[in-house]
Order: sequence, then structure tokens, then C-alpha cells
Amino acid sequence: MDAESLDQYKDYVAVKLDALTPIFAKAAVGNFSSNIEIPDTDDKFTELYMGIQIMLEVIRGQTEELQTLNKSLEERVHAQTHALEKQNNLLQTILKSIGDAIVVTNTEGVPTMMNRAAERVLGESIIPSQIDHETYGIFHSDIITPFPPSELPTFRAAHGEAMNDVELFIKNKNIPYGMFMSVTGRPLYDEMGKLFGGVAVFRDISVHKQLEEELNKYTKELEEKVKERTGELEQYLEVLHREEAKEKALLESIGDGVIAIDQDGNILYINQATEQMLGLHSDLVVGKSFAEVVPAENEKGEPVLLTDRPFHIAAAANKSVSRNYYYVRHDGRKIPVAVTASPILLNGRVMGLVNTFRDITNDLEIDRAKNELVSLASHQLRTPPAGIKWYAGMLLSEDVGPLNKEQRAYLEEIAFNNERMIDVVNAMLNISRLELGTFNIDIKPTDLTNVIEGVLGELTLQIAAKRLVVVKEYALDMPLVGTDPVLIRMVFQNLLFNAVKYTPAGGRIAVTCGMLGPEVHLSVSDTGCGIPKEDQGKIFTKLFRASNAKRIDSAGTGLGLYIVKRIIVELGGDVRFASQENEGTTFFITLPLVHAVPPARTRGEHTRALV
Amino acid sequence: MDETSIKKRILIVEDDTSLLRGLIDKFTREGFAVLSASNGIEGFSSAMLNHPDVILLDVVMAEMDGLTMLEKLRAADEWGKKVPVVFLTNLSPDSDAIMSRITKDAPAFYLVKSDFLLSDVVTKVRECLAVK
Repeated sequence: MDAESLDQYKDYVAVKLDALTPIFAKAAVGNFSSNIEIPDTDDKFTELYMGIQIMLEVIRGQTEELQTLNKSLEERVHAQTHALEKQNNLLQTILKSIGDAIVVTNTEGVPTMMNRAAERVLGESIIPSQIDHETYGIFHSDIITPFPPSELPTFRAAHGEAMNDVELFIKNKNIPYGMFMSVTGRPLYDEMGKLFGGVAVFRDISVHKQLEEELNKYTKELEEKVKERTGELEQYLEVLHREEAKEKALLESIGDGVIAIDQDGNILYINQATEQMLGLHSDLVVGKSFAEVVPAENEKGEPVLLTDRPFHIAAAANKSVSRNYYYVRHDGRKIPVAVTASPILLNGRVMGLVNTFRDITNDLEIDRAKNELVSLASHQLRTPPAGIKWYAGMLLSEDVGPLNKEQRAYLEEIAFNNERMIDVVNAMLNISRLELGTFNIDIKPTDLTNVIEGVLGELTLQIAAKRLVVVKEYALDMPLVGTDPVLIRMVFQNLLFNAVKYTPAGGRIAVTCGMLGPEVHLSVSDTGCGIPKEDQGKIFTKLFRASNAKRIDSAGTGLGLYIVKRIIVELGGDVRFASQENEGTTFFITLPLVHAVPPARTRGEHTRALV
Repeated sequence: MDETSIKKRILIVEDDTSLLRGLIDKFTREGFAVLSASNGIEGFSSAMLNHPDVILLDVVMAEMDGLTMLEKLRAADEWGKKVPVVFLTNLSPDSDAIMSRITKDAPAFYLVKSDFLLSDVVTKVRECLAVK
């Protein structure tokens, strides 16, 4: 290229480059809004210009994009900030209006935030620097003791401590009457975990406290009422105890043995008397089988079967049962006892039994003594009259020589009076035995018609001598009667002998024997002298003789009918009579078919009367 | 006749002297050979020694009573088992002890002294001997 062309080229380039200068100048200040004219020359600068134009457009495009992005970001941030602000406002509002006082403090305990309640209630009173004795109004819940500032929850929380339900009392110019508060404190950590303060929530528990107080008052009142009531109950219990003690003392002081037995036959209770009599210890026997702990034997030494024991029968038959036995102690000693067992009923069901028993050793002793006495009496009383009878008899039968008329007559008087004495002694002995109870009643199945026939047999001579008519009416199906044959015989002897004695010659005697329902009905009637009305009331009394009877037989003892009545009563029956003077008398007797003798009247063989 | 030529021997055991005398007299007059004793011990040895034909025995006696003597007698020997005994007593006839003895230790009979004359006692004794 020549110099001219070169200079032309240099100017050309310079023009082309100058065209760029304003664009670059704008670009330098961030203005990329220029546009380059693209020449239609086809040289390198066109490319350059095109390149720069593209660059400018790209930059412009990117700038727009960025601007748009920026805008949306801005908007977003705005929105978020707005939302956060809103939330913050909400929180603030909540915090502000929350009833509890909330205080946030920094690490020095200086409040950085107080909600409305806190401002209202606490005011400046919790700012550590403001705490002085005059304005400091925070106390322990006793209202008196000031709460040490270093222990305030706000302070403690700001130092990293968490606490719950710290109670304090606040009284300041804002709340002149004071307020009970419960404080909960928590430390605050930033996102690094570094402690930057604490938050304390103060709750007004005045109402709570008041309720507490009322509750306390109520509780106290209740306690007092309960105490009062307890006192009353205790008094009542004491009365009950005293009653129980009295009853127990009564049970214990009863001389009789008392044993309570349950439905299974096990011992529930034994009283002191039982312990003593049987040599038992209450603690050792309660719960054990009664029949095993206290075996029973009869007078022959044979053991009594369980089914025969009073408590067993009483439970089964639901009634009181009495028996006499021997109880065998552990040491082998046997005690004669009179036992009564009674069922304990609850709503008609047998719940258990009460066994009471008495040591009848003494009674048996007394019986034996009585028997011996009567034996002795009878022996002593009968021996002399027997002697008189025999000697008078021998004299009268002229064994040792003849008698003249007067001698005979006087001897007969002696004999007669002696007979009267023998009669009286016999009757008296019978009565003694009846009255002393030494008369053992021995119930046997008795054929009554047999007894009557036997007695009538003894009277055959007298009946024939007086030509008396004897009418007998015996029931055909008369059963055997459970009664004492010996005693019944005595009754018939008395009644029939009387009938024969007091009926004039040619008269009539009637005897009946039969059943009326469950009862035995007997009668002895005569056509004799009868019993005068005025004497009828006393006819069964001892030694009484009706006026007309005395005329007929002056030697009568006056004891016969008394004996009859006593015996019939002992045998569980009844005797009555109907009589008309000079016309006759009828005696009516009723008896049970089987007489159940009370235990006191039955005894073993060894105590039978030996009279 | 054998019966009348050989006197029947009766042992009377009774502790009351008055009654005993009456009994001895009566039975002697009635032709009996009479032995007597006033208590059960004497009575028992006399019975064993003499083997009487019949024994009249009081019940209530000191030393040994009639029931015990009878028991011993019956247990003694063959003769003792069989000799007839009549109880003469003042005790009432309804005593179990006596009644059981009478049935157990037969032949034995029973009379209440004050109910019978001596002649009745003799009759009873003769009855026993007749049965024997």
C-alpha cells in the first residue's frame, strides 16, 4: 500500500473508531442504550460494528432482565417484609394484650421488651438499676419478705436458668393493693446458641390465690367438721366398745360354758368358762371342728355319735336340744355336763349354733347325796315298824302263847297303828323322792292295760269282798306309751285302791284306757262317796282328807292324790276329776304318747335311786 | 318223809338284832335249822362253809351289803350259783340295782320287810324250796 492510501486508510480507521467513542463513553457510565449504524460497506469494521451492536443489545437485554428480576425480587422482599411486619405487629399486639406480663431482658437483666400488662403491673419495678428499697415492691408470697433481686426470675432467666411457677407478691404504685404472681422464666439463645437474654412470664394468681385461700378455709372447716364428726364417732365407738366389753364381760362371767359354732361345725368362739372347764385356749381352737376338739361320751364311756350330739340335732331340726353327757378333756378327764344347743337364725336360716353347757358334777354329787339320804331315811324309818309288825304278828298268831280277848284286842291296835305308820312312811318316802327329784323317770314303752290289770289283780280280794262290779274299757289298738311304768303303776294303785275303798258294797268301778288324737286318755270312776264341793279345791294337796273320806277310813294318809298329781305332772300329763257327793267320782288323766323328759330328770345308771 | 325228817337249813343274814331275833325265832319254830350272820362277810363265809338250802338276805348292811354278797356267792362255785336267795329289805321295790340283781342272779326273790308278816316270809321261803 502507498503512503497516500495508507493516510486514507488511517483517516478511514479514525473515522470508524470515532464513531464508537460516544458509545464507549456512555457505556463507561453504565448507559448501554446506544445503537450503532451498521454501514453497508463490507469490511472488518462492519463486523466490528455488528459485534458491538450485538453486544450492546445483549447487555441491554441482560440489563432489562436483571432489572425485571430485581424488581420482582424487590417486590418479593417487600411482600415478605410486609408479612413479617404484619406478623410482628400481630405478635406485638398479642404480647401487648396478653393478660400475663411478659418481660424480655438482656443479659444484665434490663428489660428490652415489656408487654402492656408488664408495663402496667411491673412498671419500672423490675429494672435492676431502679431497684431500691422504696420502690421495690416484690416480695415472697408471705407478703413480707422482700424477694432478693438476684433471685428474680427475670435475672435468673437472663443468666441461663429455666424455672417454673415461682410465686411472688408484687405491690407498687401501679397495684397498691398488691398482687400474687406466678412467674415462669426461660433463657433466650440466638441462632448461634449464644445467650442473649431471658423471658419471664408473670401470671396473676390473685384469684387463684384467693381460691386457694378459700379452699384452705373450706378445707379447714371441713377438717374441723370431720374432727367433730370423728369425735362423735369415736364417742359412739367408745360406747359400742363399752357395750361390747360389757357383753363380753357378761359372756365371760357366765359360769356356764358358751361355745359358738358355725354351720360347718367349726368353733367360732369359746368363753372363759369354757376355757377353764375344758382346759382349752381360745386361740388354739377357733376354726377347728367342735366335735373333734370336744369329744363326748355317755355314762358307759362310749363315744357319742356326731348325729346324736345336741348341736348337730339342733342344726338339723332347727330347735333347741338338751342332753346330758360327759365332755372329755385333752388330759383325759371327763366332766359330766348338761348341754343345750340352740340354732342361731338369720332370716330363717341356720347360720350357726350356740352351745351352752354346765358342769353338773356338783349336781350329780347332790343327787347322789340326796339319794343316799332318802335311802338312809327309808331304811331307818322302816326298820322299827317292820320289827313291830313281825313281833305283833307272832304274838297275834299265838306263836309264843295264847292270848285272852283283851290282849288280842290291844295287840291288834298296836298292829293297826303300826300299819298306819308304815303307810305314812311309804307315802312320805315317795313324796320325798318326787320332791327331791331323786325319782328317776325311766321312760319305757309301756303297756298301760297290763299295768291296770296288774293293779286290779292286787285288789281282787277286796273287790270280791265288797261285791264290786269292775268295768274295763280298753282301746283295742292301744299303742305302747312312752312313760315310766313304775310311776304309772303307783298312780293306778292310788286311784284304784281309793275307788275300792270309798265305794260301798255292790258299787261299780270303771277303768278306761284309750287314745284321743296324740294323747293318751285314762279314767278311773266309781260310785262311791264322792268328794264334797267345799273339799274339791284341796283334794290334791298334801295330807288333805275330805270330810267324808275320814269317816270311811280314818287311817288314810291324805297323801295318795298328792302323789298321783305329782307323778302325772312329772310325766308330762294332766289330771282332773269330776265328783258328786254320794254319787261317785271320776278321775281323768291325759298323757303324751311319748314323754320327752328334761335332761335334769334323767341320769345314768350309777345314780339310780337306791331307796 | 325225807322233806320233814331232814330239817331244811336256812341262813339268815340281817344286821338289825331285833329283826334278826324275830326271824330266828320264827323260823326255828317253823322247823328250820337256822344259821345266822349279821353282815355280808360273815354271811358269805357261813354260806360257803355250811351250804344252807336257802338264804334270807338283808340288803342294807355295813361291811358288805346283800347285793355284793349275792354277787360273790354266784361267782363262787356251782352251789353258789344255784342256792335260792330271798332279799328281805326296807328299800322300795322299784330300785333298778336290786331288780337287775334279781334277774341276773336268779334264783332270787324280794320282800319288803314292812309289807309282810313273818308268816308271809316263811311262806315265801317254803315256795322257793318247793320249786327247788
